[in-house]
Amino acid sequence: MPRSPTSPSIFVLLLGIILPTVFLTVASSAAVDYFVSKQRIYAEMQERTSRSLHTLQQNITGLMEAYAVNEYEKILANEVRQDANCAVLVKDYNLGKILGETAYITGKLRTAGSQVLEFEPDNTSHWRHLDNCYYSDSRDILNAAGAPIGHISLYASGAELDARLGAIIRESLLNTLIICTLIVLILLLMTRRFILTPLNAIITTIGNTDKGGIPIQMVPDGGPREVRTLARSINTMITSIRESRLDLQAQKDTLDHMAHHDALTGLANRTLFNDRLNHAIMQAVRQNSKVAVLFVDLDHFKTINDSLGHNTGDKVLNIITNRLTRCLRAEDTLARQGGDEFTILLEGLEDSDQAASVAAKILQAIGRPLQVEQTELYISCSIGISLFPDHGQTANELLMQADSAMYQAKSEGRNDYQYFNIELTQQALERLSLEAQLRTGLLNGELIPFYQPQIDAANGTIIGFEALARWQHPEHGMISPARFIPLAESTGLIHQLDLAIIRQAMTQFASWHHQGFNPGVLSVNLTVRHFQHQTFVETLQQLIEETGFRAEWLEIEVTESQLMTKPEAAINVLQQIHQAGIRIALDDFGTGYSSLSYLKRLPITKLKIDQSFVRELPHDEEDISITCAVIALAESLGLEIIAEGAETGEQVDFLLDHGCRQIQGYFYSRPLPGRKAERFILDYEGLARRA
Amino acid sequence: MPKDFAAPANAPWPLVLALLLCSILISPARAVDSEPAPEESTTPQLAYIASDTRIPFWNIMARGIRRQAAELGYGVNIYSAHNDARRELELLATAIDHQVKGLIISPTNSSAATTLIKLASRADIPVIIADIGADSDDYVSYISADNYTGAYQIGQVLTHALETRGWQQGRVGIIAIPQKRLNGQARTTGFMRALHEAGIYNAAMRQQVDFSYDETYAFSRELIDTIPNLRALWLQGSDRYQAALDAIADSGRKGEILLITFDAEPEFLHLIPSGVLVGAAMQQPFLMGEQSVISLHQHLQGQNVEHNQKLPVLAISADNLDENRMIIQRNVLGLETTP
Repeated sequence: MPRSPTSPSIFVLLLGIILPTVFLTVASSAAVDYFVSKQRIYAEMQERTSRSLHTLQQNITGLMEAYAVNEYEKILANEVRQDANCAVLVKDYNLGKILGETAYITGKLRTAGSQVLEFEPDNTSHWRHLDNCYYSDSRDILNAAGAPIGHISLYASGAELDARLGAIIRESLLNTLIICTLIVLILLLMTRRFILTPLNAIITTIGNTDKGGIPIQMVPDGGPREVRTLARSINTMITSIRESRLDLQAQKDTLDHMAHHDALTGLANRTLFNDRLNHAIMQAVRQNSKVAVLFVDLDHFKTINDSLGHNTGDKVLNIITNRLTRCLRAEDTLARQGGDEFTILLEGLEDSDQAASVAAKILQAIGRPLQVEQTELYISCSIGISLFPDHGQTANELLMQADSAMYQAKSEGRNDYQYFNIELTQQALERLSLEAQLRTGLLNGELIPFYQPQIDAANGTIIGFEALARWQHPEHGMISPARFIPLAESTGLIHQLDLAIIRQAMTQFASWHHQGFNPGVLSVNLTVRHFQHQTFVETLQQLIEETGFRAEWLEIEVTESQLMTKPEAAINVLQQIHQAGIRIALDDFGTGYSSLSYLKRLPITKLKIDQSFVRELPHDEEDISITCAVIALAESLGLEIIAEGAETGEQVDFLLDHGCRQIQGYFYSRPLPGRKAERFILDYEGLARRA
Repeated sequence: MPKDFAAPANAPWPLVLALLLCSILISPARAVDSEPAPEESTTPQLAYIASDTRIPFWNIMARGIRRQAAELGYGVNIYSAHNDARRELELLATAIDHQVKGLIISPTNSSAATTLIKLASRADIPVIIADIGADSDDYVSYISADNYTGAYQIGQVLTHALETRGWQQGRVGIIAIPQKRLNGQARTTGFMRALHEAGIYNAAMRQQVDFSYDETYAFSRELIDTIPNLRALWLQGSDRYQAALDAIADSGRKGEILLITFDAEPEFLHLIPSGVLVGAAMQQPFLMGEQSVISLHQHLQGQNVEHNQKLPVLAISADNLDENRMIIQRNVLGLETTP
């Protein structure tokens, strides 16, 4: 754990707190003790001085009366010498009287060097010595009659006081030092024993971490309550962190697995496949071997999804996954790129034929019938093969080229494999270029609606137009819907494309109505993907409002197969559309796997017979049967019926004869641009009026 | 040590001698008993303060002082403190007031001497201490008797007497002056040395307290009665020699126990030759007074004076009495005409 060089340790902090505190406390106590002792010593000195003075008085009174001057001077000397007084001074009135003076003054001084000197009244330094004495007391000396015969003064030396106070100071300082040292030592030892050691153990344990920074061991649970609480809290945190880390690791593993594997099949995904492909390329470089990438795309899988639903489609994908797995070696990599696309990495190939062998084996395995929920399905696949180092040097190149080869295989009839060649690359580039141009075209308004009229064949009147998207490329001219519609669907541009076409068509229809024309109902094709947008109905209504269109002029065409992928959700959206006053027609009816029960629940107003059933009328018996059945169904459900793709008078007649009056097809007109459609309205109305 | 001038009671010629001494002593005693008038101012004055000139020892010393002072051209005032400390101080104050050139003091005691010396010193008056010592040494000179040697010599006189009688195995009893006094200690030490050298043992010692006849008699009888082989008594004073003689006589041991003293009485001049006393150690107060003045004079003349001077004590026995008689009469008894 990094430690700031300026941060002191707890030990030093405690030392910094305890030492001054103890020192101040003990020093204060010593100071109080000193002053108390000083007062006591001073009182003792006063008392002793007074007592000594009293004793002296008693001892020398008789001597003074007896004129035994030297004797009492000896006593004075002894007093000064023995009791270490500063001085003692006696005034002897009797002797003074004899000597013709007020008093005979005698006494003894004790010098700093403990030398006892005779007091000399004429010596000023002796008087100064008296002045410098610490304390003095005096009293008269009385004879038996009570008359004063002298006066005695005792001067106490401060030396003893100073010495005793000095001793007290030294003793106090020594005691302070000893007590401070002992207390500090005890406190520090106890602190170290009961606080710092457990804390250090905690710190050491915490510092011993794994590479994730989590302590390897649990913190020792010892020491005082607070430290134990801290240790327990840390242990709780460590446990929580470990559990969280396990959870995180599990989530990470899950995410990592999800990031590298396909959720449906459990196969490697694009990312993992690319990693392995890169690794395989490097290994192939080292081993001078070949690597093959097989791009597998199921043929017409969309049809299964659209007709049988995604659940069935998912089961099919899992079955296909198992079959593909059994076709491969353990060291080969099988990945799902998305949808019905699989990629296979074959490493350590000695020649390209090995890849072809695997591809053939896969084609055979996939081609076997599938049994899904009592339904037997037949499916095939197209396989593109690219080789390292023959067809590319990088993983992206190999994948793109395998993809191109796969498209090539599809374009050549599907259920086959195809090696990459340079032409395939050109097609892929064109496809990418077309996508970019489509995006630009949408922005530039190059996608415009063409209008194919829908005619009531019984009376020859126009009942409406179906708006069909057309791309007027500024350089390449008209581009077929067969090229750009699948591209728009695969790239997600179909939503933007449909809305652009609807907006232009509504604007056109509003204009026609404004001009007094009667173009009838505007039919527009919508992919079910629009229904996934929560605000789709609102968007439609907003377009109607913005373009001056009316809801009753609009008819939405949805294909049967798309509706059946998520019928419940589709019903919900269609109900909202129906409630908005918009008609709903079921397009391409008969081509899918329509459930009549759902059909009954759908708020549709019209069925549209797919042109594939009309194309061979009135000669193909099967088409005749289906067409008649659909017409009968519409009649029984009370729905309008319209047939598309009528190109001949026979077909029109057949349909009229069998009760289908609304007809759309080349017989009446090809899809027309706006101005031509307008001309058609004018002309057809004129024809109708003439008829 | 001053000696008592009690008159002898048992001899006619000592009585005459005593009368003679008294007649001599009465005159100077008058002079010192009262406040003397200052002598002529042109003559340098000295003063002698004695503890009590009524005691012959001090009186003899005073005469020695007066004689020597006259010889050296000094006037001298003799003062007697009558053994009174206050009077002693007053006399000193008087002497100071008279601006004497020097002082000779035989103080009432050594302690009082210290005060006298100090006061004299304040007045710049040199002091000679005669016989009685001083607790202070701030004097010009201290003149005293050589008690140790005197006692040693008189001890030799006794041991010789004992040996002559074949009483070396006998014991010696001592009736001593207080041994706290330096002169008492010196006397005992010197005497014991003599006994030790002769191989004779002392028996016991009694210290005098009141120096009375009864006390001396009681101590003497006690020693005689309790020590069977007692062969001698030594009195460290001379004035109560009669009590000791009476005790010996009363105990029936007359002639069996010898008596020897320190100091002398005038009657000793015939008691020693008659054998009543074996001998006596005699101090010389007259000589001490003369020496005091001489020393003071030398000091005033700027000469060096020996700080402690010990004058010889005469160890007198029957063997040397006659040859020292003149010295004894002058220096011990002061029997010289005062100038």
